[in-house]
Amino acid sequence: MSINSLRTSLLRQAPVVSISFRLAIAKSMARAVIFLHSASFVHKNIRPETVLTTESGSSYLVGFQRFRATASHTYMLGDALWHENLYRHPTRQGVAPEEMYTIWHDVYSLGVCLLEIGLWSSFVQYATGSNGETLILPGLLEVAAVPKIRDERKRAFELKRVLTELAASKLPGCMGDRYTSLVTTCLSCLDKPSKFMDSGETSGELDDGIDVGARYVQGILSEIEDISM
Amino acid sequence: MQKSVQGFEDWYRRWDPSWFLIARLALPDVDAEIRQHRLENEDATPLTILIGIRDAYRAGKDALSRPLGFLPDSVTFYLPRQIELSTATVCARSDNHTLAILDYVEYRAGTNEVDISNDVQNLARVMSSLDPVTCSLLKCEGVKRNVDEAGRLRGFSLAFQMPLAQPSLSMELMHPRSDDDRSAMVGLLKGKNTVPYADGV
Repeated sequence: MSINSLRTSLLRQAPVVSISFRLAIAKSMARAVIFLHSASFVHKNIRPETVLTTESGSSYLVGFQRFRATASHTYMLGDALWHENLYRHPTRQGVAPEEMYTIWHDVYSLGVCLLEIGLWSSFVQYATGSNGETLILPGLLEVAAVPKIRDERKRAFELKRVLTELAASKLPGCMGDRYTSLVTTCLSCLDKPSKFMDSGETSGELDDGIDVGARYVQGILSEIEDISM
Repeated sequence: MQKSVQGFEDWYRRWDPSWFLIARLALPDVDAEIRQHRLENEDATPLTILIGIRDAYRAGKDALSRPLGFLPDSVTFYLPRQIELSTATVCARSDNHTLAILDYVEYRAGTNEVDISNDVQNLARVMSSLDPVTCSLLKCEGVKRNVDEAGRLRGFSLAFQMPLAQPSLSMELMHPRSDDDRSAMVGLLKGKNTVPYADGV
């Protein structure tokens, strides 16, 4: 048995990975989020580079570079790395994010990963430049087209729209309607109104353990656990 | 008041918290009951998850009062080998010569050193007590402060136990079952000399 990053698996094993294997990884990731949250932490860096996978479909969340205890002070720090912003909710992108980080921002990142896992196609490509440097390039064409918009905030929300549209158009054929619905639920978890949030609510108000936990377990975890292939 | 009660009732109907509240009840009887049901049910997955959430919640509360201490300076990590396209590295520990997965927590300028130190120790404590298979989180074996030559904090290294089997250089490195096996694997790694050598982390 060997261990790879999910990114390596997405790049090297396409397109011959079974649906049950994809689902096993997706379920593992959805569980890791609630266990981490139950212990009062947010991860803040969920993407295929921070997930290790084994041949058996076990996966482990690592990459705690930016984690935070939910009770700790938030410094509202970010960065402009496009390949990391790809997995961040629009309100958490850039060097000066506009919202405090909550578990729902982790859920959005989870949704982008579940989309990639479902399509089994990497949104990020790695290449070696002429001087031996590592080049990080956009993968899927639809995602690559987004950075052409200059306004950061508009670009961030456009990226979210593209990802949601990608899920709606391509995911049903790969993973079925229930999985697609789950992904779009994750991607829209901070929308107002959405399945999780009424018009007047903010993500911060929901960030107490029981309320958020109940919504996550019912709205996401039980949904993905019910899917079988 | 009436509006508040109505709001709670609406919320309860929409998001029944019973399942999640059970996960938080600190009663030994609840554990016994859940384990009994798990034995009796063909599909035990929901109950396994419930146990995992209970464990994580309790570990989180425990960690607030008893964070895991830092590894001594004498413990170093050597033979680092990056897990390709990941944030993690496979290394060997100098104290017991077993392999571990290292993950790094960066210390960002402008953040509070004491707060981040406590948070890292608490995270390590929580992750040392959870079941990796259930929780999809690696078991933490220790955490180390990384400082530069001037003694300034640069970040932290979380050392995790390898899951079930190792990232193998070849088939003979597969399926370690004990610390002895892992030590033997470190020997194999050294002998093969196929990983980029570097100073201790």
